[in-house]
Amino acid sequence: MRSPADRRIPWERVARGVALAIVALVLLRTVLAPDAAAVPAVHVDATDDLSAQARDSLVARARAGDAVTWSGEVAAIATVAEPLRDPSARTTILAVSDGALALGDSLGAIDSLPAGGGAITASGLRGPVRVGEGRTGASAAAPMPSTPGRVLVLGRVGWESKFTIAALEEAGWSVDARLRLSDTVRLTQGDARTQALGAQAVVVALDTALGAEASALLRFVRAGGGLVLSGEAAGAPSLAGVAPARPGTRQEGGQGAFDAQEPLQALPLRPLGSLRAESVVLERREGTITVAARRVAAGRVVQAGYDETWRWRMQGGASGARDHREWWSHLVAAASGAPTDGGRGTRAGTGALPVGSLDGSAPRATLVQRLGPAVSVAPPTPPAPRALPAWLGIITLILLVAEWASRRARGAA
Amino acid sequence: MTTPRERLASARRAFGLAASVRGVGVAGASALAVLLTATLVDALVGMPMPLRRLILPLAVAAGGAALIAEALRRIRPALRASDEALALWFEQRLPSLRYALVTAVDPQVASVPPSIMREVEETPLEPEVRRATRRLLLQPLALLAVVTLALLAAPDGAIARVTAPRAGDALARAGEASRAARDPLATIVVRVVPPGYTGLGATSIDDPSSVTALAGSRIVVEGRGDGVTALLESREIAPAQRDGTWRIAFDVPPRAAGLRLRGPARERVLVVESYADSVPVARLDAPTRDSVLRSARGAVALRADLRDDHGLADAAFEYIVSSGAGETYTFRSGRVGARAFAAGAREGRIEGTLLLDTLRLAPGDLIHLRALARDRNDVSGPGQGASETRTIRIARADEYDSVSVDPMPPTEPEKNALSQRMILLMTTELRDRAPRIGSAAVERESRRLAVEQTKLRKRVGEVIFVRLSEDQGEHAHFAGDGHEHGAEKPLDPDQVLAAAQRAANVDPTRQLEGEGDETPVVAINKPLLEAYNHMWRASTELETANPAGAIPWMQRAIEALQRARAAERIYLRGRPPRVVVDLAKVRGTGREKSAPPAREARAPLDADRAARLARFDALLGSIAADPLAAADSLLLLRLSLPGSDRAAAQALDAAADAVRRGGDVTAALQRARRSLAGAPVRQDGLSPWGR
Amino acid sequence: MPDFTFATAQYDSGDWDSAPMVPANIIDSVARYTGIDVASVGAIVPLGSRDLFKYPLVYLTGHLPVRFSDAERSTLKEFCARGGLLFIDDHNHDVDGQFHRTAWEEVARAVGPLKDLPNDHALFKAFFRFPDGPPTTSHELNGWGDNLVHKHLQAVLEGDRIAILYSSKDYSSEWNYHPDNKRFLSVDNTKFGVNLVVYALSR
Repeated sequence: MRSPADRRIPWERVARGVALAIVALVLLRTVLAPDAAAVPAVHVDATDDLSAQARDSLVARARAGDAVTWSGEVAAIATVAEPLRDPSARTTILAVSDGALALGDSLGAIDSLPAGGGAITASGLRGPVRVGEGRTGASAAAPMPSTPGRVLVLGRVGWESKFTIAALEEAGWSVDARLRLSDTVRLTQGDARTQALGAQAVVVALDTALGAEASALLRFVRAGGGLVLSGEAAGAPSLAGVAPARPGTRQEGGQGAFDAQEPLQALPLRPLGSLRAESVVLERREGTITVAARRVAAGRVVQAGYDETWRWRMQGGASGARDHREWWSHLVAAASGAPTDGGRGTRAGTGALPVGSLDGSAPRATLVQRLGPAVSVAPPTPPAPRALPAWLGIITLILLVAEWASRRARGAA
Repeated sequence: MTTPRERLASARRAFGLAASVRGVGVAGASALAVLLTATLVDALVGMPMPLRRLILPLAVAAGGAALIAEALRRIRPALRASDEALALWFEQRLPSLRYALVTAVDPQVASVPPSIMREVEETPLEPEVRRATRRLLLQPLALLAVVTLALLAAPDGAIARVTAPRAGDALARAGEASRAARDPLATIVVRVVPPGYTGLGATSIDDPSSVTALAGSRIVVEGRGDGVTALLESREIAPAQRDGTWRIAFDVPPRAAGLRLRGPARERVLVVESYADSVPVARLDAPTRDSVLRSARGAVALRADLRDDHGLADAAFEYIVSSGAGETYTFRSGRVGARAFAAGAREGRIEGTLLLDTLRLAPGDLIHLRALARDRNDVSGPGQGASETRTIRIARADEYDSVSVDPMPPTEPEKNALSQRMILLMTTELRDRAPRIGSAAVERESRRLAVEQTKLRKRVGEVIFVRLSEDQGEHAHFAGDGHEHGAEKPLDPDQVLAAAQRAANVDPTRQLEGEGDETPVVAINKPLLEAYNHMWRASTELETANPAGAIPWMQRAIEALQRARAAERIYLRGRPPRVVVDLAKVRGTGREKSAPPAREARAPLDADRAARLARFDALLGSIAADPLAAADSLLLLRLSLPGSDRAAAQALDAAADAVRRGGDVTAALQRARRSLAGAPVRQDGLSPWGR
Repeated sequence: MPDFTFATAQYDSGDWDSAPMVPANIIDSVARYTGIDVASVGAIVPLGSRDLFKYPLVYLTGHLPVRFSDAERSTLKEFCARGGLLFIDDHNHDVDGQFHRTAWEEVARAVGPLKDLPNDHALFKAFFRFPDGPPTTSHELNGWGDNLVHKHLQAVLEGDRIAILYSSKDYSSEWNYHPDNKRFLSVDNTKFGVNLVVYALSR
């Protein structure tokens, strides 16, 4: 007859077995669980604007072998800030996007741009310029203002040359001039050194009687100089080879157009036609091309069909003088090449980013370039081993204590 | 012998009086407490003027509220307490009465036993009344005394800052002396004393960054403490020291200048700028226009209206009589209708009569007439204003058939040119809006403009009709008009216009030349006819909902109206001989040669703009670290602006004030930057050529 | 259209056309000495009209008092600000005369006070050289006017450019003859007029 103590022995074994089974199960799950840390996967939702540091960190992890993916609504914005190639010390911020954009710098908002993008020209920018659409923003460094080159005006003594030079000088350009006063007398400005074509960034030609200077001008343009052809010079046969278009016959301006605040309508015009394939139209008047430009080798040629633009300054509305000045400055800037210096520098003390960097200037493009295209759905991640319920541990403990107590009660070791 | 009821009535009066005194005391204490609190708050943080203006009404309101509360809670119950209630109150405090008093005043007890009456009479009630009154008054009167003493202990002017705030009381703020001991430039007050002739009183400004004053004003800058020196431009100004206050006085400089105040702890800049006293404005109401008279007889009535910003001194009509011809001109001048104005007169009128008979005028003589007014400016003046000049000419005998013997015609073309310009602007606007508003709206608005255009054309037509009819009436001539004199039926407007067009004998849609030997009548009417025709073409285009097509015709109409307007002026001579130089013949025949020197470059319009922007950029970095220094930098930057840039000057003043005050200065700095750098220029879409 | 048209200002208070041959004479001289594309006939432009802005150099003279209307005053101010040059010559050559007094007053009201122009100013070497400043005229000492030789011209400057040039030297009388008669002169007395035109066209 088995004593009650002996009858507990099978139960003790059962308890021990169950406890050992639970321990074995834990060990087994630990051994057999997938190694999640072996190839870590990172997925970010970039809907909220990622900082440059966050992007760099993700790129670093991707290059270290981590599987880095991203998703989210990141607007396709690109922006760049360039110094305007004129003496105004202004900066043009170019930005493109599908949506409307707000522009600002460290001092606050500057302006906005409609969907599709555009350009804002401003001065006095401080720190990086931020261009934002919704929660996405792009940034570009505010560059140092450019130092514009010299301008040489060639023409004859008359109102057009006087007021063209005046407009450029008032706008801050350094102007040299050679103006025909008679067949033998020239009115000059600047000395022989500064008047040399090599010293000039842009030449403004207002007269057809260029003579021997025409061939030198062609060489100047091909070597990278800028040329503005206006007035009679727009149709100068000796420069036709580099002109963006061929001017037509002169049309008188509209009577009363100055009164109607449409000064460009009032100016005499030689409409530009027969546009060369590589030419770009810069300005039109009621469908007629008035200003066109083209690149010739390393240089640029801008051709304006307007004549007697000085009338704009004298007869234009309240802002006639200013508008005439800015129009001429813009025309010369369009013909001038890259800034002579300083355009790629950073602004001391303003925390600016290097201009050439893509970081921040096109956030979506940067993400795609560095991390690949966005994924529509986050990739499945291996399930983490599910933790065993706590009560299994308690049961195991109870079982082991009970088994030990039973054994001790029946005198076993 | 007093009855119990009489004794209770006396007690009631005593309680009522005490409650009333308490009410007044509580009210006064409340009001004074508000003032005391405001004075303390002002001493600690310096309350702005608008807030300080509210303090006195607030104190009165607090006192009033307390008085009402006391009236409801104590005064009214005390005065209206019944004998029974008062008797119970005494019984509660004097148990020895054993309800004798209550019984004595109980109306239901017909006859009170003498023993009870005796007991009441033997018990004194007054000590209880005095005790209760004392309790009632002690607390509020003590509070009132404490608050009053505290207020009396406040420095001079500190209470006035909250009770009667005024500009210029910044130095009276409590604690100012200790603040000034650390920094005598912490608070300044500027007093502007206008020149005496204006009759204006002095004005004060608390802690300004810039001051603008009438030229000739005296500026007094004051502050507490000592050790301050001042430099106005390069001139040192010694401060006067009195009663712990420094004071600097100087005349406002003619151009904007910076007053540099130097204290032991720091510097401070104050921008001082003057504005000029405007010269009087004179408007000659009579005669209304230039005239050519057939003979120098009669009187010309003169009348002028005058205005000045600070007061007129005197005014008169001035005339100059010119006689002669060729190189032998003589001139006489004089004044009529002179009048002096009383001090402070800012508007006035002068009237007079010019007797032509007394001027000994001869044919061909000219009288130039105008009104002159002087102001009381004894600093930079007197400022003298003049009206437009009217010319009266005595015609020569050989001029009588010329149009110039008529008075100057009214200026219809001028008015019509304005109207036409307005219609043109509206049409231009419609053309620009057309793609957005749809064809139906364009048609509707275009027709509306066509109606306006037609109305204007009719008006011009009437002018021409009237003139041509007058010419017929006066048998006036104009070149090639083909007009036959004699008894004729009057023409209707269309016939007159047709005749005039035939007279012009050109395509009405083309510009008519005003050259040649035409009479002024034709010179006036020809352009009007042109304008009339151009308007007809414009209205036709508008009728067909083609605003773009109407614009060139409107522009031509304006141009023609302007020529008509120019032709309406009467000039003293006819056209000079027309000499055509034979350029081909003389070109290059000059014997003397020249070698003109090189042209000198014109200076940029604002060469310092970039430097100013750089300075602005640099000072932004110092705002957080040293806002007061940054504010001074903003003011110095403002002084470097061209005098004409008022907008930028105001923006920088505002930015300096904002920086000095502290808080969020972003908006003020943005405005300042925009004023210095100009508004950004936006270009929608990207150009293929770049910028 | 020619580059340059000589314009005479027409104002309503005085004898604006008192020197009718001056324009032709200056046009003649400009053509003689320079290659400037000049119109063969002068223009007349009302001082208060917008047409003034078509002629950035305008000549004004007369004997009688000069009184500008408000329109003339504001037009003149704008004309100078935009780059125009008004040459005023006192046909009386009399600094005590009414033309002088009123013209100075009106110029001061419209644009600013007239001040002496230094005799080494660019105007005096813009084409021909006048080292002693403005050339003297034969009319300055002709018994009329103030009988003074005026050492200086006066000007109102806009920046470093002449906006109003004022002369008491009576060039209006000196140049008021038919250009064909120039052949009788041993020295051309209109050369300063060429300087004025070249200066206006180039500065």
